[in-house]
Amino acid sequence: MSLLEVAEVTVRFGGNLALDAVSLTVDAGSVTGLIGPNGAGKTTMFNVITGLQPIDAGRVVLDGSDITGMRPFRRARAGIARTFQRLESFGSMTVRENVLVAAEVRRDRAGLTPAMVTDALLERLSLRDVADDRTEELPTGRARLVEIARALATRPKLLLLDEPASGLSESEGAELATLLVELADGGLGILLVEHDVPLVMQVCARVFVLDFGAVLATGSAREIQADTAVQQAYLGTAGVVA
Amino acid sequence: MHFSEIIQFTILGLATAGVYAVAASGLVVTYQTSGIFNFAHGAVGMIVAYVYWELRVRQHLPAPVAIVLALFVIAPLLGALIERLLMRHLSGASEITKIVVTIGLLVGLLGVARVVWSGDIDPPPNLTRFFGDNVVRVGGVNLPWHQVIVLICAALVAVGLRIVLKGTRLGVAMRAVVDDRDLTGLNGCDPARTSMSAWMLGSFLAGLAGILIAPTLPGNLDQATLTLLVINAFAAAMVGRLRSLPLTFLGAVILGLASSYMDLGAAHLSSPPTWYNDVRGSLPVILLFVVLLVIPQERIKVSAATQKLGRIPRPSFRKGIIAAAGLVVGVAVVGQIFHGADLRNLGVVVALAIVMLSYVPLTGYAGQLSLAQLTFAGLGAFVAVVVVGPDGSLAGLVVAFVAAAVIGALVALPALRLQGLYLALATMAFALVVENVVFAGDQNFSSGTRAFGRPSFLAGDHAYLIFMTVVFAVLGLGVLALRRSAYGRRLQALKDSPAASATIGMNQTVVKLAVFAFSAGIAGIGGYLLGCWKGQVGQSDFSLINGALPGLAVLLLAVVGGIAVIAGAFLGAVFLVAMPRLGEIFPSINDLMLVAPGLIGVTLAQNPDGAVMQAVDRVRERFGGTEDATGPEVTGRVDSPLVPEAFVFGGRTATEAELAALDAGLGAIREDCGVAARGR
Repeated sequence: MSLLEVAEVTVRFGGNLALDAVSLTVDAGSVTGLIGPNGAGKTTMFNVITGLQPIDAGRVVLDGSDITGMRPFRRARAGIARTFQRLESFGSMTVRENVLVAAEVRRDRAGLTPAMVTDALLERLSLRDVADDRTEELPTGRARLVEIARALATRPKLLLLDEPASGLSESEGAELATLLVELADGGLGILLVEHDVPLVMQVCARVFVLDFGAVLATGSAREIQADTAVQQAYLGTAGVVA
Repeated sequence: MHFSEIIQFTILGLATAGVYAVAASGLVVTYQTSGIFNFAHGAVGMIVAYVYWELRVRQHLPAPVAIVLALFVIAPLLGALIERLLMRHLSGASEITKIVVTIGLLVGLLGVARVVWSGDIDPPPNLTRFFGDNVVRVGGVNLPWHQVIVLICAALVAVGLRIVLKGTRLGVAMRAVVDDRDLTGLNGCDPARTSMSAWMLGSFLAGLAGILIAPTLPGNLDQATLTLLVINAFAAAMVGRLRSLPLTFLGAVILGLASSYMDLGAAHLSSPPTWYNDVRGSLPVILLFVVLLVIPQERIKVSAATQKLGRIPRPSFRKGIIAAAGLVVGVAVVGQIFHGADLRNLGVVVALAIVMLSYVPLTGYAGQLSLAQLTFAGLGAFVAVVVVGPDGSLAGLVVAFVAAAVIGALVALPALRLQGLYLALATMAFALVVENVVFAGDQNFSSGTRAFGRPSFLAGDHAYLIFMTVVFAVLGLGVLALRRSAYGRRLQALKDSPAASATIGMNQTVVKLAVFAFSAGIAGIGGYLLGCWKGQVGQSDFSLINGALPGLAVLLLAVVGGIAVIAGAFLGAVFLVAMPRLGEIFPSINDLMLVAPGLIGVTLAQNPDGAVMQAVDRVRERFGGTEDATGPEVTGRVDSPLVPEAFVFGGRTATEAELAALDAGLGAIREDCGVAARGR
């Protein structure tokens, strides 16, 4: 059984079908990619999974239990965490407080204090040097890392990452890839929206391609790269970067 | 009840609806173009109505000339000034700043009117209906000409707005500006000119509504009454969700007919029950409240437009305790020096500072704007004096806190799903209903003679003054403790990003409810202390826009001192009480003092963190200290190695053992994720 199952979800914005009976699954312990051109419905899908966007039809199932209609904060407590494409960090708070507040909300009963969780995460994401900076003053790339740290502080089962690599330098991007693989190896299910195709191909076990609110293709990274329909819709007919 | 009577009241109701529709459409046009909801819309209408009265009655100009001057010269000019001086600077400001600036404008315009047309003018301001009481007979029913004219004006406005907004380049530009000001500019429209046109149009519509409705009010023109009539427009505009003009007109019709039929009912009931008259008097406010609660709300906003976030200081307890002790000593010393009116005012300062302190957690930390804090103060005082009696006891403080907190929670419960502007409007409606029904309903309270007593061991003025200051200090430290707690962080997170707070698992309902109740409770204590200090208080002490120290001015000065700053609450109270007193002592600046709260409110556009923060910044710039709240400014960031071999622990390099502990911590998190995921 998959960690997350999205079944036949439809979302309408007025007359527009933002998502048209889309189904996808995310397995625990692996990174699943979600790619597609701008406006394909990727962020809408994230909003659906986290409960910020009500749906017109379909079901969302986490770990075997139906969470369709559950309020956003309950889904977070059920183990879903996310980052935002357009940053939603707590801008007036320091980097440390951003992570700490999440750790406090989802306090670990097993003995790790929120402060310890926060320190460990700041360290892992190389944010220690900016721990006491106001978050809104960070460059975009590092602010994205703050959102990842904050998401991890809620001890999720499922992590949704919305373009985490945009704004990162090349070496930071490589470090992010290492982190994602490491987190997945630890058992976390990750759904990754990303325009950096090489990164997607490097870390994802499976990839879903969205276009105009519908799933265009599904498969392993290798299969998706070979798929001509995908190439036309998203990767461009000229060919694929390795 | 004759059929013709029903027809007549229907047409009267439609005429009333016409005025509301005209006013409400002005509100919608400015909101749509600038994204600013103009709380001062009614005040603009009031000013224009007074200008018209001045020209028509006092200067004896012919009606058509006076109308043209008031509506087509003064009103648009006023709108243009408002846009140029205030609103233009607000694009990109936080929603709270936008609201507070227009409230400042409201209070300021009321002050201007009180200065220009002061209380004892002769003849008393009064406008007659157009064509006097002449009637026209339509289908067996007598209709006053005035009402016919109102209906014609409303129809012309409806048609005119449709043509302007849908059919002209200006209208298209107006609708574009609100979406993205800069983008509209790139497309060849001048956003500044478009925005100014909208404010001129809005001001014209407010003025038209003011001139049409003023003659139909009983008695002489009253500045506050005319200003508050805008609540009708608020309700109607809310039916259209501040977007749809046709629905706005529908809202106006519902409101106009409902109030007209209630008048008809009152005319036929030999002695209508009290509640009937209460409802009749507060109908627009009740409708506004109901509409706010039933209209579908925007969901939690993801990625609201980026705006500069305010700063929230986080002083240490040590500093807090030193400041609290200093304040108590300071007030005690000054209390020995002051006598008579000044001593009385000093006590009022302390009590009002507690009411203003209630804004710090609610608005300063959590970003929720309430216009009803002074109302909660009044409710706390009222319930406490009813429960513990006029003899006075310390239990009264507890009762006041609990009563106001419970009522605050009850108000917050339905209003919780409201955000920003809608919450402000709902609390405004609540404040007006309480004022008109609860405060006015108790005979002693409405006349301001409800007696409050002090406990015998605190009977003396000096003792009670120090006692109140201690209460402020203790509550201030309580608010500081909240700020420094995990709960304080949650409030701040909620303010910065509602969407992200939900997705980290925060139950916003509980967090908001608690902060609402807590802050209402603080206000309740302030209200009760005010009562005990003055000996007797009532409606006029806790009114939203009437009275010497109205609720809107309390909000303005709380914001100006610094809405997130505990010391700002005290400073704001000092200003609030000192201004009218200075006007008394120096009559030459009395006029200025009447306008001052409004002026101060609108300066927020320039300085959203408040006066205290600004002063502290200045001092720090000079003497080169560091900030409490946000940490030292980092200049020239050192790029961290991606996998740091060594990193710094509070200024020193971490030891091997600490690194190991951190590693273990991270491993535990990983394991936790893994176990959770694999467990099922």
